[in-house]
Amino acid sequence: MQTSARTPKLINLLIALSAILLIGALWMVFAYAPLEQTMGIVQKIFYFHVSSAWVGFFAFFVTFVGSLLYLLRGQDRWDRLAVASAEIGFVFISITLVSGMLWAKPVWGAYWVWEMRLTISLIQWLIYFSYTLLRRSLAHTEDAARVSAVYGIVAFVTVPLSWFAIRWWRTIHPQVFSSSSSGLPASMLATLLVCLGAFSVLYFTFLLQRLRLEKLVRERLAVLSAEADREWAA
Amino acid sequence: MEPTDTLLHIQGLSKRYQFRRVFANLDMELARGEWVLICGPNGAGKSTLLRLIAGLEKAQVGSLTSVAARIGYLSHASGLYEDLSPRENLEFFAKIFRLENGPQRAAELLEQFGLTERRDDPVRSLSRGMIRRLSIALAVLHQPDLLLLDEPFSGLDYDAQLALLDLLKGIQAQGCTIVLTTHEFSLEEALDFRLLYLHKGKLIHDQRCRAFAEARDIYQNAMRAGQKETKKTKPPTEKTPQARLNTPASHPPYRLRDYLAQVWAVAQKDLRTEMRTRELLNFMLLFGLSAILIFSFAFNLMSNAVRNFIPGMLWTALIFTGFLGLSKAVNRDFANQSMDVLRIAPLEPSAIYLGKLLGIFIVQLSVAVVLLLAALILFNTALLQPAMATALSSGILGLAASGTLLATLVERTRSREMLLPVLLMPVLIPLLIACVQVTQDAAAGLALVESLAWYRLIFIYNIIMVSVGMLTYGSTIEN
Repeated sequence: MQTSARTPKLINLLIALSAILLIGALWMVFAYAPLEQTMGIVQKIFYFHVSSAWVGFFAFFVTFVGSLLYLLRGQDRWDRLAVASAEIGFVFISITLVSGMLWAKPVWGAYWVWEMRLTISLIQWLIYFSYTLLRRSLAHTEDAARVSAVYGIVAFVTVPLSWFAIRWWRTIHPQVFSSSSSGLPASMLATLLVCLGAFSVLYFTFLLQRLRLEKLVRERLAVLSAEADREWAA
Repeated sequence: MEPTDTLLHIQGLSKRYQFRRVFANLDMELARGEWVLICGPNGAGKSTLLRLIAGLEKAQVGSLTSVAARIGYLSHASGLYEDLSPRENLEFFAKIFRLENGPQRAAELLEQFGLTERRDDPVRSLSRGMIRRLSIALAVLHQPDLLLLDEPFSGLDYDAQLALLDLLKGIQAQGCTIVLTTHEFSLEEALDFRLLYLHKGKLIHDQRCRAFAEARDIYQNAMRAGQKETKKTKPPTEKTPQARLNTPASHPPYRLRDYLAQVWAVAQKDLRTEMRTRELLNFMLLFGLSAILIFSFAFNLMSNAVRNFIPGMLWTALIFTGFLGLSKAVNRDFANQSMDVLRIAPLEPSAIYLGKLLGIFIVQLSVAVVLLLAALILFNTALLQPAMATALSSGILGLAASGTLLATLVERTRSREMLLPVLLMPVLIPLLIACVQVTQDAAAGLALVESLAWYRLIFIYNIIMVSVGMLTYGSTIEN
């Protein structure tokens, strides 16, 4: 079925929901959550940093699932899901890296510290970037989908291993959650949860919109192919 | 026998490459023992049709049903490994096709195709005609019942074309169906064959000819008429001359022993090529030693304070040399489209992966040993410790496992040389961390148990990469 040029209602609804949640999250971060005594205002970055990292990791997982299902079932939609999620994940991981560096400078005295989560984010960022480069080096074909799917799987399985390796190697990152308690006051925890929710909804909004765009691109390619066919037949 | 015994049935076949349609709704049938000649202008879809029949490409729409148990395929490229001899090539592919009498069959074919005298010379030293003959010998090695030849006469002089035609007649007389594409009609030979003229993926003419001259007239008239005269002529149902059909034996059941034999055959072929050319070893060693030299000046590694950098330096050099070697090692299978022959063979893609992994592992381990010795001499360090062998071999295995897969993955991409390091480096990070740690521990004289956590990580990494490689290699080598 031809994709409509009009934005679907679900996406409009998600855009509205994202806007409301983001405004609510901003209010909670700056007006509701208390100022952290040691770090001061800079601690507020933490809410965006953790949320974007969560979305980045989740997007990476979605790319992995899309890649796996594409190899198993060969359906175009799983490839669209993988590529759309990888691009959005790349944006969110970039936010994680930048916010992490902005937070690290006043707290640790340097923009970059080789601690576990920052390093993992950098590895993920490199992998997402490589994935996009690989994608660009191939045309919109089944080959591109298959090759990217294999890399999507290989790259994903590397992340938990890197996590363990770097964790054993060295770590000085503050634990946000421990097994017994979050270590956060209730107001901070509530703010963090709202931020996580807002970023997650934002991710799904971007994802649906990007999936739609990818579908439109492929439909346009199909139209061009059909035109080429007509020329071929003539 | 009458050519009514259908070998291949094509119905409603459509194939396209993004903006280029090759076939639209193609119908065709091939009978056992037929001699079929496909011609048409460039871009008509002749080569693609052969690749589709061989199973090397997939059509988007339509069905292609073949009852051929064994298919032989010759593309524009030779399918041969140029650094191996004709005998080694045929014996290698005989193992891949699981022929029980491989060396004997290879010797027979070399004799039949007039290549016995040059059987031990590298393929790259043979003339074009000899290489073409050897390629056809490779295509018929496993006694196929359907032989697909893409432009077999191309680039051969008249006598060589005649000799080749005689060879093909002999093969067809044994019951093999021969389908070939050609632009060459200069042969003044009588031959009863079916001529298919393709134009823009459509079957325009389908008729029986008794000589190449007759086919040449049809071809030239059709070329002049272009697509306007699209009248399809029904082929007369005549007897195919002297076609004795051998019922092809199906492949014996696939056992673990066969699988392992194929893995070893691939590894052995790669190692033999390497021993002959020493291309990878020389380049990798020279590059690795240069890297050590550069590191020694960049970090002043003679100072005691930075001695701990030596394992890191060693692994960095090994990874960079790996990039050089991996690309070349994998490219050897794609250079002359030998991978297509491997894909046609009754061979699990994971066996190709494991064979290549094994070959690359042995080469990289050899480089690692030399670089270790160089580091030991140049920096006067106690690197030769009992645990070092385990540290190096486990790490190199991981490097070879992920490297083999990704090098194959980027083989058909633009700028593959640049893409491989970019894709591989982030994937190698957990392995690199663990390898540097175990090498440091080994250099400090610690026992293996002291580094058990790191070895566990390397082990898990290797298991995951080998498993992913084995499961996805089939998708990786598809066109």
